[in-house]
Parts: sequence; C-alpha cells; structure tokens
Amino acid sequence: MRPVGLYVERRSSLHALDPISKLVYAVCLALVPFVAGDLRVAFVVIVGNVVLLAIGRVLREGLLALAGVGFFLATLFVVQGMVYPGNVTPLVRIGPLVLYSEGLAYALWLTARFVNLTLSAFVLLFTTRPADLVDELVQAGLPPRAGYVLLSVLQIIPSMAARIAVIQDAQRSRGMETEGPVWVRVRAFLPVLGPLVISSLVAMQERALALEVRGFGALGPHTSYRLPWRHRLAWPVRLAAISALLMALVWRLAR
Amino acid sequence: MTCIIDVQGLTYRYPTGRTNALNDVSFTVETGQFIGIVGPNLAGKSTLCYALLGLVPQFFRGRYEGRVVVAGMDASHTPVHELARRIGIVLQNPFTQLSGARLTVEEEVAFGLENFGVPRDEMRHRVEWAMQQVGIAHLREKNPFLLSGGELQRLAIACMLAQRPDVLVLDEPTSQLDPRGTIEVFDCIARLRARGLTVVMVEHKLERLLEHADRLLLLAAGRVQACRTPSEVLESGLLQACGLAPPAHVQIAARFAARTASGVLPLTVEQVAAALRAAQPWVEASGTLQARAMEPPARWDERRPPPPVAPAIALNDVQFAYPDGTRVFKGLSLALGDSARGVRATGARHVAAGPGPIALIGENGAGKTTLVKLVAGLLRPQAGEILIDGQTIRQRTAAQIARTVGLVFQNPDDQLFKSRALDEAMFGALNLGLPPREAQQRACEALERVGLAELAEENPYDLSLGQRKMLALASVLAMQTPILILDEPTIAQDHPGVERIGRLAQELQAEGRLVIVITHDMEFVASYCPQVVVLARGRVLAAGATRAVFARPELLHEAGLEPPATLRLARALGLAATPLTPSEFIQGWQRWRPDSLDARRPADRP
Repeated sequence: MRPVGLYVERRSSLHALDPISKLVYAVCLALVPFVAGDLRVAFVVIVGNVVLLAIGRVLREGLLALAGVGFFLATLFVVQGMVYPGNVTPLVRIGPLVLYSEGLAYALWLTARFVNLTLSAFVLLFTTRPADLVDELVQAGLPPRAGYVLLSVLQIIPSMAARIAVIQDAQRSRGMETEGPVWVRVRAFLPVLGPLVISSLVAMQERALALEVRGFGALGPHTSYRLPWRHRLAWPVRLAAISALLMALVWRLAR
Repeated sequence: MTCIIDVQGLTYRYPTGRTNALNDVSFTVETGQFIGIVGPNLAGKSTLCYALLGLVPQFFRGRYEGRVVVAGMDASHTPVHELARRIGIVLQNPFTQLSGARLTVEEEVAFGLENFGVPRDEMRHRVEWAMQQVGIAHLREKNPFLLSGGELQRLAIACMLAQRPDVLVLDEPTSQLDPRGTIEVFDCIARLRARGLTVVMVEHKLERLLEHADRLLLLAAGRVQACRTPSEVLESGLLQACGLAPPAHVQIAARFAARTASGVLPLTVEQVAAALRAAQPWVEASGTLQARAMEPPARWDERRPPPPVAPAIALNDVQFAYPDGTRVFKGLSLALGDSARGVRATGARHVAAGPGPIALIGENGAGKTTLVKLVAGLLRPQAGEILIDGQTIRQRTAAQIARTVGLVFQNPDDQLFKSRALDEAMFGALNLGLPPREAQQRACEALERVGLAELAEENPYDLSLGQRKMLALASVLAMQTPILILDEPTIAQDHPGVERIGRLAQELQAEGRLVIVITHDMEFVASYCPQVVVLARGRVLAAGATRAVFARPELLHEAGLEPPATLRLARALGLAATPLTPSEFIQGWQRWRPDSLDARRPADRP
C-alpha cells in the first residue's frame, strides 16, 4: 500500500527538522519572489531551494518532478514570446514566427516564480510525512476533527487503491477478463466499482459507529500520544524564513 | 456481587426491518461474570451487542422498547461516547474498527485514549500493556492497514483493552484467528476477568466458550431461549433445538451419560476424560491402550470406492515474494489432487493425493491464501512452475484459469455488486460465455445447493454475512469449474451452514471435482476433509491423509494448530487410535471391550 503524497523515505537533517518549521519555510520562501518583484531574488531563492533539496537527499526526485512540467514551461516561453502585449523588440525569427525579448523576459519571470514555488513546496513535501505534518498542526491548535478528516483521507485513499486490487482479483477469479484491449478494461470497471462503492459506504457507517465507541465525540480536552516534534533549529529556521519574507518586502519598498 | 448489566423487555426493530431483531429480551449480568451469547445466524446476537453500547437505538434508530442499563447508565439515552468510558466493544469486522487516521499500530491503540484525554504517560503505559496482552507488541511500527485479518482482530481487542472498560462486549472476536490465536485471546480474557472485567461475548467456537463462560445466553429469532450455566443449557437440549451442535467431546460425554463428580455434564476435554474414566474404571487401569477395535469407518468412509478422476495440481519449486519484499515461498513443491492424473509422478516432495476434499491449514500468515492465489493465476511466481493436469498455467490470464479453478474469496463483499442474488449467481457463468438461459439455470441450481433458492430475488446486501458468503460460493459453483477453492468458508456460518458447506464439498468431490478448503476450523477438517496440507511460514510441514497428519500432535503444534476435540479426548484417555469425529469415537467405544485390547492392566504386566 503506497502512501499518498510525495514523501521520500531518507535519513537527512532536513527530514529530521520539524514539519511546522518546514511549512513556514515553504510558505515564506515561495512568497519571497512575488513580494520582492525581482528576478535576481527569485534566482537566489531557487538556488537556496536546490541546495536544501540536495541536503535532504531528494534533489534527483525534485528535478525529475520539475521536468514533468517542462513542456508546459516551454510552451509558456513560445506563447509569451509571440503574443505578450508589450512585445516590441524581435529577438528570434523562426520562419514566420517571431519571438520578442519582452515576451521572453516576462515568461522567464513567470517561470522563475513558478519553479521557486514548486521547489519550496518540494522541500516540505519530499521530506515530511503528510501525517506528521497534520499531527503537528493538531498539536499546534488545529481542531482534532479537522485533523482527523485530513489524516483519514491520506490513509483511506491508498487503502481504497489496495482494495480495488483485491476486488479485481475476486472478479477475475469469477472469469472477468481485466487484461487486453481498452473495451475489455472498461467493461471490467462496473464489477470493480460496485463492490468498492457499496462496501465503502457500509464501511463508512461501521467506522462512524466504531469512532463513537472509541470516544471520538467525547467532550473535554484531547491529548496526543506523540511527543511534540522538537528540533534545536526549529525557531531559528522559522525566524530566518519570516525574516527573508520581510527583507523581500523591504527590498521591494526600497526600490 | 452487583448487577452491572440489566436488560428488561428489550424489543427492537431496525428502520428497514420487516420483523423484530430482538423480542422481549431480559437478562442481568453481575460484575465480573462472563456471559457467552450463542445462537444461529440472524438470532439477533450482534444487535444485542449494539444495544448494550447504546448504538441501538441511538445510532441505528428504529423501534425500541424496554430498558437497558449498563454500569448504571441508561443505554438508550446516555451518549455513546459516555457509555464508552465504561464499556468497550470489539466489532465483528476488525477492519472497520480502525480509526483510519493512524499510521502505526501503537498510535492506533492510543486513538481512543487521545479522545478521552488520557495523559500521555498513562497512555504509553496502557498502550504497551494492551499490545502485550494480545501479542502484537512486535507489530507496533506497522501500518494498521497492512495487517492480516488475524492481526487486525488482535489490534481491535487491544484498542478496547487500552480503554480499560468495566464491561467488554466482543462480537465474534476470534473468527479470523488460528487455533493458537484463539486460545491466546481466551486466555487473555480470563486474565482480565481475574481483575474484575465483565465479559459479554458472541462466539461460534463453543468449545472455548464453555471453558470460560459462567452462563450461556441462547438466542433464536430474537428471543432468549435460555440463560443458564453452560451445563444446564447443554443438557436442556435447547442448543440442538436451535440448530446448534455441542462441541464434539461434549456430544461424546452426553452419549455415555458421563458426569463430573458434582453430577453435571463435563464441559472440557479433561473433564470428559475424567468422567469417562470414572464411568469405565478399566479405562484408567489399562494404561496405554492399543484399541485395535476402535477403527470405525470415518464420516467420509476411507474404504468407499474412489470417485471419478479429479484434476491434479502440481507446484514445482515455486518461489514467490510480494512487491514489498515479503518472501512467502522459497522452493515450494507440492502436489494436490487425484493420483490417477499422475500427481505422484510430479516428483513433489509433499503430496496430498486421493479422494478429497483437501484442507489447507496453518496459522495466520502461513501462506495459505497466497498459495491458492498462485494456483488461480492471481499472483505469478518469480520462479518455478504451476501445472494443472500437467499443463502449465504460465501463459494463461487469471480469467482464463477461472474456467478451471473457481476461487471463493473469504470476504464476499469483494465480489458482490448486483442488485439481485440471482444476477449475482449468474455473473461467473456469463463470464464464461454461456447463453443467459443456461447461466440462469446453473445459477438456480447453485442457489439451491447453498440453500438460497428462496432468496434469489433479494438484494445481496439485504442478506446476512453468512448468506452473502453462500451467495459468493453459489456464483462460483455456477461456473462448474473442475477445481473449487474455498477460502475460510465457515467463518460467519452457524452449525447448519457449516454442515451444508461440508456436505457440498463432499458432493462436489464425489462428482469428480477437486475441492480445496482453507480453514482454521479443525472440527470441519476432521469431519469433511480426508486429505490435508499443513503450511507453516511458507513451508509444507506435512501433506497426506488427515488421520495420519492429525496423529502427529508435535507437527500441529509447530503449525500453531491443535487436533480436533475428539482426538484430544482419545489422547487424554491414553488411546492409541485416532478417532476424528464423535461418531467414530462412539462407535469405537461401543465395540471396545477390555478383552479385545492388547494392552493389559498394569498389574498384569510382567
């Protein structure tokens, strides 16, 4: 059963850092280029994110994931290069197509912000179990019911995927073909979907019942089994991230 | 002692029910008592459990009359989470009892404690204790969604134990456990009782219940038929009148009117042995008996003419590991089926040849289900060969193999999706390409064989779990495959259901099909399966005639199993014969005379 999310199981100092500090970092650093409004700042932050991904031993995964949106970014350069409203200075001519420097510069600015935002998120998502993050948020004050909803979704999605495999097996053992052309696979959809939906509804009712007898609706304060995540660099990291955002604001105002 | 549960005049009907699930149910339970609830399917056992927790009527609504007071709280009005501070319940399906929001077993055990605001240090202490009690401490870091059925059942019990309830209600808590696991759970409950826990348990495994319960509450059609000591209930004949059967050793004791020193029906194997010795003094005096006369025909009659040639399965040096690296088989060689098809010629080290059905037994996690999935083509071995009637199945899809191998899954809800039972039963036959009329005819025959003919027009989800299991079986039966594999068919079945499945398996075998049954029910194996394969940790410990395999207790012990009660009784009496069923024992015992024995009384020995 593969868990939901991008988390990569590794041992690194970034993995050891508490989830909330990484969340603060990701939010602040993703915003820095937007606030600073300067391409150079964006590049500095991107380099910082790449270094952090390398420290977290997830640089390869991060770059591969980024490459997945490479085509979209390339399209952005072509479209903006041709049709950006402020286009004045032709830079490249390919047959009847003309790419203008203003459009390409704008595309570069958009791309830099997008890449930075993505890499900042990767610093958090590749090195943090989603459940750890939600659990820390609950300990930090998120209502337990909201935390439960988030956590149960994270757990139930992969469990449903595993269940689909079991149901498929059960139907294959009754002679239902699931291998072969597309129409064969489409025809096999209903016998899998039916038991999945019905049993999920039944399970939902039973789980609601089970939650009640496990005190889910109990009044009074809830406690947590997990110890709060402590890391000596937690506050320095959070303060540094917030400072970076403030400095970006100062940079913007000073220009 | 004080009364902790007081049920008076409880009548209840589900909102969509046509009849009452419970009718004028009244009983009381004193603190520290153990009440076993028994009854046939649809007797209202689970509904009664829900009522004790207030889930009926608070959760299910419906028509409710009467009064249920538990630990001083009126269960119909007190919020369930308040009742849950004093009363715990382990539901029938352990999977749905998971919170669904915890990543490790220990966090799952702690979930309820977090909700009740138990301080962290106390929580850690309780979680550790609860995991130790049910033997899952080694699984603490594992994801609950990755546990086996048996492990989940232990986890569900641990979750409730951690809440330290005064009353623990358990609805078939050992249905998916192997015999060793079942004994461990009952031992755990016994330890907790010594600390004052009150226990209410629904259980089909009567042998264990009789050992531990102070009273049996016999339910049928929602009414209390009896609420007395186990001996009194057994002697009243009400159990049989409700379609249930006493454990094998109790049947033997009743047949010979054996009584304990206090004059009541003995309940445990040891008590029955002592009572029989007292009734027949020469038994004790004869020491180790060589009861040659005690070899009656078995229920499956080992001397009957062989059935038509059944198919044969051969697994040659099969290796298999799951994608997560869990290795199950490392060079498994096993031959199953009819020797006339050359099973013995495969060179397999372990062979279960001869008239079946064949039982596949072993503790939880031994590899039983993995083995049959390999045979059904649902899993592919990394190395080795699987042959059916000498033909490799490597190139065939699972759907193609399903024309030969019918596999009935443990959980019927993985298969059922039609809105009419008849349509569901036709599904497999239609997949084989049969014309609808023929598929319907086969489906009707199959429904008849499993006892669901009258429910053909019902929606499968309106049937009980036992009936849904029968329906899933019918849908595979209608495919008329030469090989039929049943994965835990007796779970959730009452005694008539178990008997029906046993008879059906034998009939199919007699028709020339190969029937393989995965089960933890040793009494079922003893009664209906002449061949057996014992698996342990992916290895075949033994394969062959059931009587020969069951005669080796050390082997069963290694596999986490225990011999059927009749055989344990014979051993407790020092008999060398291997009776497997009460009728075998009774016939042998009747023919048995001291003068027909080889063994002499100790005083006569040189």
